[in-house]
Amino acid sequence: MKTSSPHAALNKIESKAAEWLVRRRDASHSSEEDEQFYAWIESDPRHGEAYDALALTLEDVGQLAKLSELAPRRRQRWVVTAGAIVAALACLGLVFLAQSRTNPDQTFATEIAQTRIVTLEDGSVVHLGAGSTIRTRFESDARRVVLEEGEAYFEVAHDAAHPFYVEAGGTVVRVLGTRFRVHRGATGVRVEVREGRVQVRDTRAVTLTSPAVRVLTAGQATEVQERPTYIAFAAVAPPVEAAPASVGAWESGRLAYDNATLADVVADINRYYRPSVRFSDPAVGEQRVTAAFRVDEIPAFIEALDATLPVTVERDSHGAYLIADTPSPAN
Amino acid sequence: MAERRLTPLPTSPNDAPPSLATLYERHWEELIRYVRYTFGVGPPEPEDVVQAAFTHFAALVQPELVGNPRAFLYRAARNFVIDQRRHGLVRARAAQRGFLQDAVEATDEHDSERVLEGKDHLRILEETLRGLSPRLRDALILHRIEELSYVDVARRMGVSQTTAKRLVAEAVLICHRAVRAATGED
Repeated sequence: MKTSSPHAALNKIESKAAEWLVRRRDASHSSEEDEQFYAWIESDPRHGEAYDALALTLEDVGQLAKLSELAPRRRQRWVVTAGAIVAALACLGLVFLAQSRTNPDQTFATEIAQTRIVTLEDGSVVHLGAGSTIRTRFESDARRVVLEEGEAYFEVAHDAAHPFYVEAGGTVVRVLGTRFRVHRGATGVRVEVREGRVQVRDTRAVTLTSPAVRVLTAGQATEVQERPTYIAFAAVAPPVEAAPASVGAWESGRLAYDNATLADVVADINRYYRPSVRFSDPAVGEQRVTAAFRVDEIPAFIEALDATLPVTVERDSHGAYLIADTPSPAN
Repeated sequence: MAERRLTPLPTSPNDAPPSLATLYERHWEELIRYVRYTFGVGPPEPEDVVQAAFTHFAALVQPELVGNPRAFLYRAARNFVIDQRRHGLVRARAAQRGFLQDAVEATDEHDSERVLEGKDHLRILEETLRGLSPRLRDALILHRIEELSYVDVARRMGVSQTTAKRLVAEAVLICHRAVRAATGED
């Protein structure tokens, strides 16, 4: 019989899988239908394989929007919908915005001890700290900002259709619209949230015991450690309550640390203090400090370090500092 | 000088197997979407399911042998949900601990799987989409690219919801078969 051929059987499975795929994507399905679906998928391994294959194909169809001229359909709809509710002038602005989604990368940077406020093309505002660099890329389905170095405080314009991502090393922060600060230091990335919710994800870590994803709400902060390996036990630290993230130290000219590593403190200092501060050995930077000082007090802070830590501080004629271990006393 | 490497050296950056970070970046969102519509919001929660799938992949002894990491991740996510359902949470946790062992078998299974280069794959898909009858093409584009619900697809096309679903199903089936034929599985 014709119908007994392997080909016919596969075709039949695929047809059924396509039917299920479409039904599962319908928002409303009953628990009875859930049971039928599980029964079908568990009854034959080929069912799940066919279902996945069709799901992948359907996902790829969505990708075509980015790659082909099929995309303008979506943009047109977006602009027309928006145009119905805003004035004609604003609508022109949106047309420009829609077209500029495919703009190439843009880079914004600050010098040492310089700060800057940047308004991005979606209306989001970025306060750039000293010695910081961001790169922006706006795509048809997402807004992306890479924090190359330093720190930035973000006031993200709400746009549910275009999630806003901030990438810092392997850390990705995802938001829809909110205010938060991302700081890329010597040992890791710190995220503090002032308003709304953000998702923090460590893209490098896949852990057995600890999530690589955390959701932070207003008043919370977390840290992601820089690590060379994939498998780790604490990818994204559990959120801790934090003082509401402010625009950043640069607004008040103050730097404050609670039990931070000296390496992190010095990394920040080097974004404000042009003659650099260096360690004789990276291990020196592992010591912990709690301190608060104004950026114009940096030399005084460095020079006073030997009073609280077992270190020596040397200053050269250009104002650069070298922090070294105190030679151990001869026994 | 003898070449001692067991795995072929990449001849260009495009040939290098994608890193875990790259896979995460590319596929996290779509996997969450897949798990959410297929199995609902849980428990297990879609984030946990997708995390388990990536954990599974990360535990592979030779992940570079997986011909199609994306398909592997879809399957790992689906198996995780089914396993949790079938055997309950306790068994699933045991399975999670046993990933290293499972992983070796999974690698063998996927050893022969081949994928088209991303661009070829999408080109075939796009050609197929263009070749579809206008009704099938519109239904698929409205649903997947313009992200309309079936209710809205039906309204826009002036057909019933049942018809809208049938058109989308048929369109995705034709696209899938075209891609499958191109990978030379037949």
